[in-house]
Amino acid sequence: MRNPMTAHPPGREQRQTAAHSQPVRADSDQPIAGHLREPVRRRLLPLLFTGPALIVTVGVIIPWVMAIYYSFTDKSFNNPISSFTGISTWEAVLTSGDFWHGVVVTLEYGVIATAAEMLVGVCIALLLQRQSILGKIVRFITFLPLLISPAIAVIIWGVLTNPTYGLYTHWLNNIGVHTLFANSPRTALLTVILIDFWLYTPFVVILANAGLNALPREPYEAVEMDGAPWWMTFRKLTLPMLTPILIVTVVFRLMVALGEFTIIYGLTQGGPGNTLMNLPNLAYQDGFLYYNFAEAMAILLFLWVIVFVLSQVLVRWYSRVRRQASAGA
Amino acid sequence: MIHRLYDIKLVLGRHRRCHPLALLAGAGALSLAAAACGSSGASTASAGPALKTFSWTAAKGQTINLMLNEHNYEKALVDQLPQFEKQTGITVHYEVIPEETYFTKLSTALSSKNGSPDAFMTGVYQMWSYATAGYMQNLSALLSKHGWTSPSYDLSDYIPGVLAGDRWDLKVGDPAGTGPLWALPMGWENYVITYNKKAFAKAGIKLPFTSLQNLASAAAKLKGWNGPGSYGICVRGYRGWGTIHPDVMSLMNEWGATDLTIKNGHLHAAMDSPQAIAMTRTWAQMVRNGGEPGFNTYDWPQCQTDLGDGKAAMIYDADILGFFTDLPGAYATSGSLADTSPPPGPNGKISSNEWIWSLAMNSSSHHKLATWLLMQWMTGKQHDLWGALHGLLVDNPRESVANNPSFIAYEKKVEPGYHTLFGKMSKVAAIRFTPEPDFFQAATEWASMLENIVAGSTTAHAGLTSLAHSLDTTMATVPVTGHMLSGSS
Repeated sequence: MRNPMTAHPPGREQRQTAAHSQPVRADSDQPIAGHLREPVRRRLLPLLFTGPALIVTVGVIIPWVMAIYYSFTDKSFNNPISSFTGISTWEAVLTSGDFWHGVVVTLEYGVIATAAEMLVGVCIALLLQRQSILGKIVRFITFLPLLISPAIAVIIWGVLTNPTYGLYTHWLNNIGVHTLFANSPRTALLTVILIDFWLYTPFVVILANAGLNALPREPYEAVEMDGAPWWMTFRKLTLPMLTPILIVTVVFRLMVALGEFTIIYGLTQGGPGNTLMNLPNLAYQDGFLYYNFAEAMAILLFLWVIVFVLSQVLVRWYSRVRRQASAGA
Repeated sequence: MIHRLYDIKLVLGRHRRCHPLALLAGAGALSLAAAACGSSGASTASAGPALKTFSWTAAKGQTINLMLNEHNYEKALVDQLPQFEKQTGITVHYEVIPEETYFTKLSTALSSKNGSPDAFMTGVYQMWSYATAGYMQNLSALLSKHGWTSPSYDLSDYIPGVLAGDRWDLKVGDPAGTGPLWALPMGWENYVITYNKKAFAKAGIKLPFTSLQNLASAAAKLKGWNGPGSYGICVRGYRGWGTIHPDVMSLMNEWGATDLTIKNGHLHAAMDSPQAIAMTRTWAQMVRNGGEPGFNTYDWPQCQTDLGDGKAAMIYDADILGFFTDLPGAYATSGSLADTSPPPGPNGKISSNEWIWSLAMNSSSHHKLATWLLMQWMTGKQHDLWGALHGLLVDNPRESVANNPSFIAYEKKVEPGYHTLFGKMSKVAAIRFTPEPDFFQAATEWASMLENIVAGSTTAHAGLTSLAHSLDTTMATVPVTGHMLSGSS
């Protein structure tokens, strides 16, 4: 019989074999078969690796559950003692015209901004595939907006588009184009989307560029020998291979665009009127200006549902594309 | 996420009791417990016992926290802190926060009920929310506590309308000026027209303005007075409560209109009264034809910049804003500015709303005596006079300081006529809003509707009617317990 105090602990298979061959006896001074003690350090190692992730997960779950709870109360800054009110807060939110207007603005902003950034970002990434000095200069300039925080970018754009002294206003006036940018309900949404586009297209360029650089060269060499035109190469070869990375990019951009707060709040606080009051700004207004935390939580949870549903659709699409790619290979 | 937790389960191996759903359930239970604990009632710290005699060193050795809004009025206080600390032996840790984020941070700090900050700058409208929620210390209670207040602290020296602004009995239905004192005034402002003398002389504008229509015509005439991009009048237009309280609320009062009334024991929005609609129609026309093109994004800093840079021929805003812009060397137009009274209402009435920056105490403060000593010191006659002469405490809340010969001489040097107009406006300035804890929602939605009206998306009549209907629904649940305003039960 091997002395378990001196021998190396058996592997899993050996432990299972040992468990079957040796019956357990309560009065035996031999270790219980199949449950040989591992060093403590080895047992704790998985916890050490996964601990931080667990802490973060719990740290995210706690405020999320608290938000759900508060959305069923009348929690307000003006009322330190809040009480459970059932669905009345949700009813007030879901029957509010301002709320559904916020949903429309949120979706408009998210979809238009993401679509524009993906289209132009991929085009720029394709152009940057050309190795030239001009390409390197363009690459450097393209990535500059990433160095600027959104809050600073909003201040800069606010000055540039000021109808009284803004530089862009002056240039456009000189060519006969008169626009009020964010000061007109007609052009306010386009203005904030333009700022978003300026800030985040470089992000799309980076991911698309990385995806393009990772594509295998052999299919392109074969197509080149066959003399296929560039648009057919792009449509039949590049796009299908690039689709998975593009879907990931869309997920990132759409999620952030749907939750956009800084640009709109920094520029117009949701105005003119309610033109730019998307759900994040509506929640901020309700929570921090009107002190109605319960309604703010309900609005943010609804936004979370929108983001969750859309992300699930995109993730499933990604999985399907990957399966098709694997099947094709 | 659950899929990943099952992977963790495999990693953990034998630890079968650590089921991922159990982890989620545990976190959820913890969250609900945390949320429930957070719902407990307000806790206020006791003020402390009465003292035999007053002494500035009665709280020696204590440390207090002070939260301040970035403003010229706060600079005088900060400059004098070393003197206060030396005299009292109290250490003061202070934080100065930009106005754009000040009240958000202050509200968050007060709602934590942990006693910090001990003292803070506040405005009147915030006092209606904070005091109602129990976050502010009733100062009348401290004033009557023996040995807590300096014998030389003279409440009667305050301009009556200013001190009254910091009083309210917390009963919706009763006006400002009733009930206990919640804050001590540091400095205030009323609302006048500050104009560029050269622009007005060149355009032949005659003063004083005889009506709002007269002002609107002058603004339209001054469009382009200083080249491309220049215009007649700058008023606040951003989507926030601050847009309403300078010119709009002052004009409402001049035209015999009000923001809210009481009907059948309930709050009722009154911005859709015929007088309010008529005033708003003329005001919107003034902004469209002679106002700044960037109306929707303009707050007082933008108006001050445009006035100072020679873009705006005039502003209808705080009197102190014009004074600060006219300080020697401050802006390109400094030295060229002057003030005039706002246009009277249809029956000749001149009125003004007011804004008061005050010092208040956190009801959860654990150092109430030390905090009270700081508040008295920083709003006393000596500090106020020093602040007026050296620290830009221009619209001083104390009559003795406002009428001090040295201060009057200083005002005349910067802007002749300022003191005379200040004396005139002090008599007609008061808090014109109806106190209620949901003030910010009503005022913000009002500002939002004004943006629509100016943009032409709706008319004054349709917009204000729709606004009133919307606010009536919101305010239906606000309990009316006061009885002084007409219509209250």
